[in-house]
Amino acid sequence: MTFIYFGVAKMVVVMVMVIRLKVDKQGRILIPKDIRERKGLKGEVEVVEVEEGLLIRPFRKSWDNLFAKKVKVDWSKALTVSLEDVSVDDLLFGEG
Amino acid sequence: MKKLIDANLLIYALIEDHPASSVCEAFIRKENRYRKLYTTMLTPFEVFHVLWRIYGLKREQAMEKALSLFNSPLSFIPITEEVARISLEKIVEYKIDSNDALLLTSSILYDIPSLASDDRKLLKASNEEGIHTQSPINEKLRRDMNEWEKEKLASKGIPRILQRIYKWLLDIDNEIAEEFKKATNNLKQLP
Repeated sequence: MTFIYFGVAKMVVVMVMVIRLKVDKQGRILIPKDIRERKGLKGEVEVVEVEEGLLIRPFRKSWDNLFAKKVKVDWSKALTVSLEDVSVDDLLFGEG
Repeated sequence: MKKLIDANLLIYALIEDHPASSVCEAFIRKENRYRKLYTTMLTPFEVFHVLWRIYGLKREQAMEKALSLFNSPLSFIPITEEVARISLEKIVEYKIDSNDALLLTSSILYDIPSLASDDRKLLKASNEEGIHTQSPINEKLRRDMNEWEKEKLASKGIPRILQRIYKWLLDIDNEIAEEFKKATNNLKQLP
């Protein structure tokens, strides 16, 4: 007995708009107003380096901004590991 | 639902090889899936000073990390006159640090029913105020932290004090610092 399967693949057409912009001597580009508005680009933006170039998107607050690059401690210089016995007021308001 | 996060949990999470780092980071990320997280406006200052003066980071590095708190989803509760007034009373009532008192007061004034910290005094005071408390640091992790301390840091007391002086001298004059190190028998005894 033979079973024949017919699969229907969904075809997705993605329209990509390409515009050409000039980078000025200071390295600035002017993104057209309608694109800025559609993409919510105002105030701070994130510029991500991707394989094909740069991705510009609205700045998003995320935990990765905090934890992606953790700090390295030279433990021979550290005064403690646990902060339990540390008086933070001495640090904040004591003599520097 | 809302929750307050103490600076100590943020600090542990920020240090790459701190024994509590991954636990605290996972805790913060998980909590934020269900509720908005808050801290006080003094927390970035605490993070800065602890990273700089306790963990020995350069000032610039500590500042950069403290500033990056503002790029996280944390919300910062301002220190208003009312917050300051009540916090001052809590400092005296519970014998706690200023930022801990600000956290406690923020919980009361801003209706934030839950608080996470690794500070036993603050957790105790919060419980007395009827605030739900939580710490991601369990007894095993605390033992790991103590082991880490024994392994990586100079012994408590004179050696650790000498090490602090040595570190301070290093920033001023390398030669004098090395002389001090020799004179103290490798930071073990008074010169």
